[in-house]
Amino acid sequence: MATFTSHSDPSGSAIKMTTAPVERSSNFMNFLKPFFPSARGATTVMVLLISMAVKFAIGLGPYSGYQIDPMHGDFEAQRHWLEITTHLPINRWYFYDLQWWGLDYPPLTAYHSYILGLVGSFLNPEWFALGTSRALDDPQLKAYMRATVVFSELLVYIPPLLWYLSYKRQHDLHRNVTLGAILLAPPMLLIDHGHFQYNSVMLGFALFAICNFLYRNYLFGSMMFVMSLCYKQMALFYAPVVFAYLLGQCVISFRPLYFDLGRFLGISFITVSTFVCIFAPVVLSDGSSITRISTQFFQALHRIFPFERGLWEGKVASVWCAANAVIKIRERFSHEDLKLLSLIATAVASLPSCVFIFFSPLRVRNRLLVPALASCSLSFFLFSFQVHEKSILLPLMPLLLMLCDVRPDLELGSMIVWFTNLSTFSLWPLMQLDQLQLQFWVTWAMWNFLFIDQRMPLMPRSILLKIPVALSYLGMIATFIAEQVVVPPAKWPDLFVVANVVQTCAGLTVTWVFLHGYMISVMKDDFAIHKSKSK
Amino acid sequence: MDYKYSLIPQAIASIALKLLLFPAYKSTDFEVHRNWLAVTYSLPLRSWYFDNTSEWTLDYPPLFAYFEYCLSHIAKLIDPKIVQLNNLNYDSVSVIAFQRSSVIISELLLVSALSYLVNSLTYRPNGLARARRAFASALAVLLYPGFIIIDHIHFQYNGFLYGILVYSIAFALNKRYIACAASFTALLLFKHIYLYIAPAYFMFLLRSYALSQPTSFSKIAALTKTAFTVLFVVFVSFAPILVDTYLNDPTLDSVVDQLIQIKVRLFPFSRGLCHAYWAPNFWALYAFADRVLSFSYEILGISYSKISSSTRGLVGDTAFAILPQITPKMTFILSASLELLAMLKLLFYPSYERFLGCIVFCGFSSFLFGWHVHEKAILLPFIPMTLLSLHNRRILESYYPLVFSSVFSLFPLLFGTAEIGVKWFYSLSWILALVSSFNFLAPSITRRRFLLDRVSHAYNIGMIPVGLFLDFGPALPFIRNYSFLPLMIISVYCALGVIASWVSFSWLYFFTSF
Repeated sequence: MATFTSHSDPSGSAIKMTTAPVERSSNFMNFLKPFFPSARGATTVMVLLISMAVKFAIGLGPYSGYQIDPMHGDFEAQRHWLEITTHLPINRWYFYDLQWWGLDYPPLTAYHSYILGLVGSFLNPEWFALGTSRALDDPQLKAYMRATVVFSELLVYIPPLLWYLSYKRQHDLHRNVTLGAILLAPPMLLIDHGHFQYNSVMLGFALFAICNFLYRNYLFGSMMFVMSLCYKQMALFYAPVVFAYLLGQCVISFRPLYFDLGRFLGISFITVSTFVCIFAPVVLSDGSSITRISTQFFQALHRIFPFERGLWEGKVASVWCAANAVIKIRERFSHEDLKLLSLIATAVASLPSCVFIFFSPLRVRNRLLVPALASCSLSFFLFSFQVHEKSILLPLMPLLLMLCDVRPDLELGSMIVWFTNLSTFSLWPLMQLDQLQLQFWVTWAMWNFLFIDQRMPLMPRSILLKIPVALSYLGMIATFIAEQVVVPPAKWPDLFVVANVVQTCAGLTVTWVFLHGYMISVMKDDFAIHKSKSK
Repeated sequence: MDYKYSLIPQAIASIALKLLLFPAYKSTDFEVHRNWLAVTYSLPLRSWYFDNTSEWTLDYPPLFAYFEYCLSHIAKLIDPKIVQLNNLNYDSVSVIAFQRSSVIISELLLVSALSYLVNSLTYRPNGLARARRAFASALAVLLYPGFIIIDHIHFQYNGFLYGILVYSIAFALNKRYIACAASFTALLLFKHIYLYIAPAYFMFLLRSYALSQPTSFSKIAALTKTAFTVLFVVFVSFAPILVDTYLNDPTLDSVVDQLIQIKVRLFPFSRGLCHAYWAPNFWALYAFADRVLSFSYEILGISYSKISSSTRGLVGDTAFAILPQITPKMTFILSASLELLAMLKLLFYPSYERFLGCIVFCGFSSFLFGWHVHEKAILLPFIPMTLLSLHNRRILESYYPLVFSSVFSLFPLLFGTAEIGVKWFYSLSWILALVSSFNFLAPSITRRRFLLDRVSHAYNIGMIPVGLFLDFGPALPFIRNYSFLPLMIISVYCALGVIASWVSFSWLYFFTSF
């Protein structure tokens, strides 16, 4: 397919097309090519603007719990937090009417809600009036809330993303394609801008931390990671790897063991003091007596980590829920056993990535950080307690970041494409619930249409990966077709949801294995290069 | 190497965005078109132009009515309730999905027309560079935010109509004059707003086709051929309705009545000079001047006859307090004489580019000086000018103010809060893409008009605060008593841009060689 730059162009010859592919490139790249080399900077802005237009367009659709009595959904939860944070004194935030979407995220979410609530109340006080605004679905309120998600993302998520992309030295054209692929990835769009949540803020802080680590700003990076944790506890999925990474950076050498105590203490101090600063306003809100502080603190903690709620909520592609299709786990084991089991399994599964990160030499560690974050969060998704289907964003983000490392001779591109498709597929039951089918199909089809090319092919080359990937795609298609054709038997009303969950879980496991293989191959390559150099 | 340009990937990607706009706001035009589906489906042809069950009576020419007739038979298969005559303001999911996708699918005609235009340039002298520029222009047309705003949110069928227009232009380029005449006549019979640019076609066909034949016999033959083509298309499009009328009541009177009724529906003269929201044309400035004058008279204590205020005027009256009243005849004479001038220029210097320029000029004169102009009519000069803009850099410079004003002047169509994000970010990215690629692609010049450049830049940048004021101004407390202010400012500001674009383009059209 021809575009502008397929013709020889005197002024275009100046650009270095070293890494740009010579053969067929993706549709998205064909869109951008006309703007090279005349307007490179403008291209990034253009991609950002387009992605924002798409986000607003998705936002025109319904949101979770739209006009569904009695509890509505995540939209109402977020709106409700804007309402209570602006109207109640801070000491009641974690106590107020817990039955109606009580606050169950850490304080940074509450502060964010507070600011958004103040702005919103200035625009229209009725949107967040205490009590009377419950389950409000005014279109203007919806527009405001949608805009807050887009702009929060623009402020918190986009800057570190651009920073990360500039850290990875790529051809400008490829960088913009990667940016587009990350920004337009369907799960990101559908969960935050369709279903309605502010995950991009949490991911943005985590990404800020990653960028800071890569640029050796460990203190600022730790602070950012703590902020991510304090925005949504889900960032814990990344915590073991971040811990192993930082600890590894404190060990200058193993033989002889040389430990950089100053760095270690600095990081510890920053981490603890950021926690303290963020929690202080809530914890100290009742006064400074020990009992009051502990009541506030434990109430917040209790709200944030609801261990009594069970191993999973709804149907989610974790190992437990998928295995439940075969053995009724919750009947066989007690609640306490399950907690312990899940803890051990999560620890075991995330151990390898932590070990790789900790013991790998300095120069490899930075290359391993993002894949390790992906595999660790994947382990958490598969094995940990109280997982939501939306948590798929945590492994997805680092996997998408790995698009920067994609080369035509690696399997990585196809695996990232597959994982994105798989995670989109895993959202199908949620999208049906939210009436977002149109948005689901359009964003999914479009992402594949725009970004599939040689760097990001649909199918991996090696037969070992081809079989599971092909099976998985076939399974997805079969599930969608069956859903249209077959009526599920009365005995299993959730047949298709379970089918979805089992397939996704299997796919995630394959990805988990692949990521470890990938990390090992990175280490091996580095070892070989190092060896040949030292000769 | 194969140099065929394909617009299909871009079209598919834009369709994705358009699908996401299904739940967006839709104006009364949505119900207008639904009602036409019902009218054409339920009633015999003879009654189409007489029906007034709904207030949204059929007021487009016959071909559009047949188009709706075809659609209605598909609609019936999807949901029979769509085509029920008394089912007013029906807006179930099925009707929204059907009507919105009919816009998307019919717009494919524009895609094919643009590809035809671009690819027919490829094999000409200097064709590659021209085709490349034409491709950029074609993309700009295809992805124009105006289509998103008017067709896919507000709801109309401009996409495929402009597809027919582009086809007729491409036929003109390829010297397929008969096809050009036929397609343009068909376009007129789809929507009669294109009458305004008919003079350009008339003069082009006369001069480039008929008068440039070698012998006087072949001149007359060409003329007759063209005339017959036009008449044939007109006849074919009116025949079904007239035949149906005649068969029902075999008298000549009934047929004449039918024709008069169609004329009454198509040309309602009971409307005012300006629409409720002033389209950004000369009359917007005129009305604005009148308001400023009357306001200053009030302050100075000079008495004047208070007739009525022009923005508050109901449809049918736009009265000025101080400046002289404008009558339909005056606007007609003004725009007709301007178009005549453009025709004369085309008569003496015929070329494809001049023809395109003549279309642009006619579009401008009708938009700027016409009677009861809608803001949507900005497409009439805008689309042809986009196709012409990359011809040389001076045209490009006169085109930029129009780029900004043609997009931002459509913003008031979407007054809801939900669509603000889409319209702003989509428009900004389109403008950025257009400016950055067109600047690069246009042939370079040696001479720059330094000062005008700066003024034009300042104007374009100034559009952003004006647009922001339109969308967020009404939320400010001190604006609430002056709710007309944001609308008035944007329409006056855009009018300045359109007029600047028109003035500089007229200069180029009349006094330079293209």
